[in-house]
Amino acid sequence: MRSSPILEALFPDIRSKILAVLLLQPEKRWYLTELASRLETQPSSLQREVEALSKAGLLEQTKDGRRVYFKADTNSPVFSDLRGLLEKTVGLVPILKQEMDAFGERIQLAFIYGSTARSAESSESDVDLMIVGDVGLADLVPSLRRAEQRFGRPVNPTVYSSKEFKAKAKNHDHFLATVLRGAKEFVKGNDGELATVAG
Amino acid sequence: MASWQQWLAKGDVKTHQTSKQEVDNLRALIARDLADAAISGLSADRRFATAYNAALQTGTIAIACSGYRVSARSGHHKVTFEAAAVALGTEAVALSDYFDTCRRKRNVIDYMTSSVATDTEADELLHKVQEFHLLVESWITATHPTLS
Repeated sequence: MRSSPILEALFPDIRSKILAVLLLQPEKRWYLTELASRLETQPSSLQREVEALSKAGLLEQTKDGRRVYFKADTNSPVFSDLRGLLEKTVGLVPILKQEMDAFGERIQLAFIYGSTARSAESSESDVDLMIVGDVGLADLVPSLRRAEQRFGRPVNPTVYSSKEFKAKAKNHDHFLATVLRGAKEFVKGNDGELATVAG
Repeated sequence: MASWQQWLAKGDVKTHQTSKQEVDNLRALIARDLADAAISGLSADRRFATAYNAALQTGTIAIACSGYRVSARSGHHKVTFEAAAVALGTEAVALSDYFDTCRRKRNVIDYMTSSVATDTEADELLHKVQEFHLLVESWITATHPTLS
């Protein structure tokens, strides 16, 4: 999960991670061991936080046999505000992934770069998004508009065909080389697939 | 999306009586920019910015034929694309949204950084502006025949 300087300033690290996982997937029930596995930590380190969040009415607990499940309490009066904050910060990749997945195999690679990928963004930073595949900017505009509305900040797309991406990577195009050297957060693909597409 | 009345009230547009001469001058400018944007020897940035200007002037024709001109001191280009969509109707809304996204990239190209546009984007923009231009000319023929 990406970090956000805004969330780090507001909440202790583990609390913001719990809120992000539960509020960005509000329909899903989690049991403690599963949540700990998702956050790559020990269940004991989450116990006190989930209890406090439940007591504050942000999470609801249900028992199923011996297991206790937690999920976001969507009836909480602050649910939508808190979810909005999480979408604008740590929710960038899941939201973009949801939008980009609609294009299927037409998109080979998609990643965030720049200050947002370095987790050094301010609340007003644009989200720089590079997309490689058989898709045009005009096709992407409705998806990007929806994402912008949820993020509350602009998404700046840069679109390459696979052929152009490969050619420019090979020729060490200044802009592309700078982007590829910097931090990236993959929305679709990974470093290995990037190396393959770049040839 | 705003209406002509809202833009008039804000001073973002003024009423304007256009002429065939004015529209033809804009047509010549668009033809020049579409031809230049197709020159493969130019950078993708320059082709993109030139095709973008053709889109802007095409929108300006639609607004002029509707009896207005954009007078916004800030957001002139944004208002132009929104107002062109209002003039042309729902068929132009998607193109207007697309050109508005291109507007942000063009601002970066002209004022901030080089090598921002890709050839893929410049080719697509040229194609979309040609489509927009045809749409506007068909609309003029149907709704303002004296200006066609």
